[in-house]
Amino acid sequence: MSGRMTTAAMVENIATSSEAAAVRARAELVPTVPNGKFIQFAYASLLGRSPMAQEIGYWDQLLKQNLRRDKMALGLLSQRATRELTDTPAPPPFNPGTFPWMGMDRFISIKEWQDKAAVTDANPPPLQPRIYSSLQLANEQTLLVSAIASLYRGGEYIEQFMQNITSQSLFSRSELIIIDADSPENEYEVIWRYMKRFPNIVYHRAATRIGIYEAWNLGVQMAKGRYVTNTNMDDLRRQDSFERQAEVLEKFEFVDVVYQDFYYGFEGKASFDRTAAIGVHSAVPVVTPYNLMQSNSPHNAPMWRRELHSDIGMFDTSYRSAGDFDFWLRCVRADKTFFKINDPHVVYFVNPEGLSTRPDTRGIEEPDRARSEHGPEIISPWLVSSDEEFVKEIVRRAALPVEIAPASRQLPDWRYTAVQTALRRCSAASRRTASH
Amino acid sequence: MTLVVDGMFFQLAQSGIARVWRAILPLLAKKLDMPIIFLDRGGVTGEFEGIEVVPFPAYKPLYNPAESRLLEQVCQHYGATVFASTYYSTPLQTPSVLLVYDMIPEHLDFDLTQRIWREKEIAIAHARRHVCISQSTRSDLLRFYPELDPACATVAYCGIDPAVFRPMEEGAVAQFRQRSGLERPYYVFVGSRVQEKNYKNAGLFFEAVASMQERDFDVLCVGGGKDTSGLEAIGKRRRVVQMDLDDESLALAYAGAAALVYPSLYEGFGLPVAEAMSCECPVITTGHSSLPEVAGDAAVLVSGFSIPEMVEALRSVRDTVKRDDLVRRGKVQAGKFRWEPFADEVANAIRATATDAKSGIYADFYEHWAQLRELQRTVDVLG
Repeated sequence: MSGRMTTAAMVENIATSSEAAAVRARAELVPTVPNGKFIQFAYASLLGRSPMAQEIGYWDQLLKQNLRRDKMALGLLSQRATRELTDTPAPPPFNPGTFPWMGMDRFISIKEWQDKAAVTDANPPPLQPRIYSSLQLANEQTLLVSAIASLYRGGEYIEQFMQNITSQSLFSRSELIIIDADSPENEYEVIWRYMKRFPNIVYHRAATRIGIYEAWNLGVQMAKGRYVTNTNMDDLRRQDSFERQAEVLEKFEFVDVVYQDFYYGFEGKASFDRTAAIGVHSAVPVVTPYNLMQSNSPHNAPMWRRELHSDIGMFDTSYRSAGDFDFWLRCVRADKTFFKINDPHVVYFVNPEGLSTRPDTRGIEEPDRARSEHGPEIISPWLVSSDEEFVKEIVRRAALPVEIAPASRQLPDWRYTAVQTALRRCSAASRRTASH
Repeated sequence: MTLVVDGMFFQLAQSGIARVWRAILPLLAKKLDMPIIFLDRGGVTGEFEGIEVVPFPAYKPLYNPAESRLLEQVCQHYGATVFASTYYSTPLQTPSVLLVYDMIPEHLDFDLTQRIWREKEIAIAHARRHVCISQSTRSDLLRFYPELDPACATVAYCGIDPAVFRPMEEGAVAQFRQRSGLERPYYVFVGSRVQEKNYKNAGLFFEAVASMQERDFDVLCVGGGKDTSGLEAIGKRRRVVQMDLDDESLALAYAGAAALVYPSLYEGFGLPVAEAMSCECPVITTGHSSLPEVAGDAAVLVSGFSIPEMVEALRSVRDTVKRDDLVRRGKVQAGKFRWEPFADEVANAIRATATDAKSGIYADFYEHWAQLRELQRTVDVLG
């Protein structure tokens, strides 16, 4: 190699010179506005949704490197234009035959599940649930659980559903409220058979075809239990499912919502024990406002305090599929506490035929709408403030001088590590005070 | 006054650290004049005597500041005075006591930006008292955290249960050997054979064996996974047996062995050394970190870097006179490690922290800490 500079190196030198930086700064959009606020604005105005917390970190890092704000904006605009102005179909949300495996950062394919199912006993012995003597419910007769079911075209599953719910160990302290959304399949015939045996089944038939969240709201209004849970016709619960949920809510009054891991089932009428023995279950995290924006962890058979509705309101009936997601986002905005039960005691049935190979427009638009509505409130001002303001806030909270070198502000999680530095400084200072 | 114990380690593994807590929880229940609440995140079956076990969401190396908040809510629910995690988790404002097992990641330059190690830093900084399981661990803790008050970092040696790890009856040992296919003399290696930075140094042992002419012995690997591929070189006319054993069978395995070979270059304590000695099993180990504290003058100590030296050590323990001497010294040495004094030290740290907490001297610190940790939660964007 000769000592002469290559063209690429020359370009690089010019591009990274202080002169070039000054030119860029002049050309920069709203240079006085912090990156985070710009990113939020760009997402809202160009994509029509709120950015996820992770996206803010990602773009902030790129903008601090060489990316210009106008280029970023153009990228977002072009995404929107392609979506709305051209016939180019959006890629499917995931490969046909696969399903997002919640909490595992991967997909489960039906084939993978079926391979496991093929080597699993048809009638396996039940797995022993983990029972905590510390949580045992008081021996009272008060009504604890109102299970709400919205019914529309549930004929195929109604018998299995009624059997499953009425055999809950806690059913004598529960009520089942069925809101029939004017279903044409005459499920009432089956329901009536169970109603003769169980006085704690409430049946209400709506005069017209109402939406699922309208049905849920009716159910909540009719509910008399301390806790509410939604039950889907084709989902299956272990016999002690209500009990496991209610006992946590009874024990920990600071908990507002319980949710749990769940087994994935691709066989419609397999027993709970069989699906559990096949053993494919979620690993959902502790709910945080940011991860909830990304993924609806509590979506499967959660149980919540009925009084939550006097605080948060009812389900928003303008949603057709993301009303529960919207409700949970409202809960995290109001600082409500979610608590995960580790033992998977429910089966989430995924209909293999229902797995779309085309993008599910509503399945994307509705959650985006909820994100747009709540995102600006959920994203902390400290994630979108300027770097300087953030460092000032750290120092204010620590009540100590904390040095955060500008060079260390390049990584997407620099704010996190900056606080970590402050925590350690704070701890060190406390020990000096204590020993003096 | 209540103590909340986070059982997160039991979810991750059932190895040494779980053994420590299994041993001391019932003792703490007797010694401490306060209720103990144990948070089960999975991996625990049954109950601990005198302790209330309640469920808590499983650990993930993500969203830790949010989890701190949930832990604080549980602590407040129980009116907890002190919190202790079996691994690295923290509440917000409830004062904590931390058992420090080792400083391996810091010492061996692991990637400390991984969440679990960041949380270790948080746990060390949050705790008001630290109980280290060896002098060596304590001095490393103070080296990496010079800001800590040495008076609040104490040492408690791990214990062994002499009812389990004991001289075993000859007939039972013979039966174990027969059913395990270990009728010839054999050396025992316990635990993982491959790990980050390979600090357990299994390779030294296996290379030494491979270089030996003698073919009249076998090797037993306890735990460490079923996969023994890569050990074919030592298998020529020698057997390599891998087994996962419960404590009773492990005691039999020690009792029948020519020696426990434990060539580790870094340990926080080294429980197998004491356990083997208690079962009258000679021990070959190194002089690194805590190992000389556990081995005393009762083991063959090697440098951990020389194959010929390891070969010599392996041969030496098969000499009857040498073996008898090691066994005799080992029994005396093993007698020094009991769970009672360990639990006493932990109980003392908990009581002292509870007393200090009552006096209000931590309030200011934890107020700032909680505010910062909450700030950290709002900027936790990974995951």
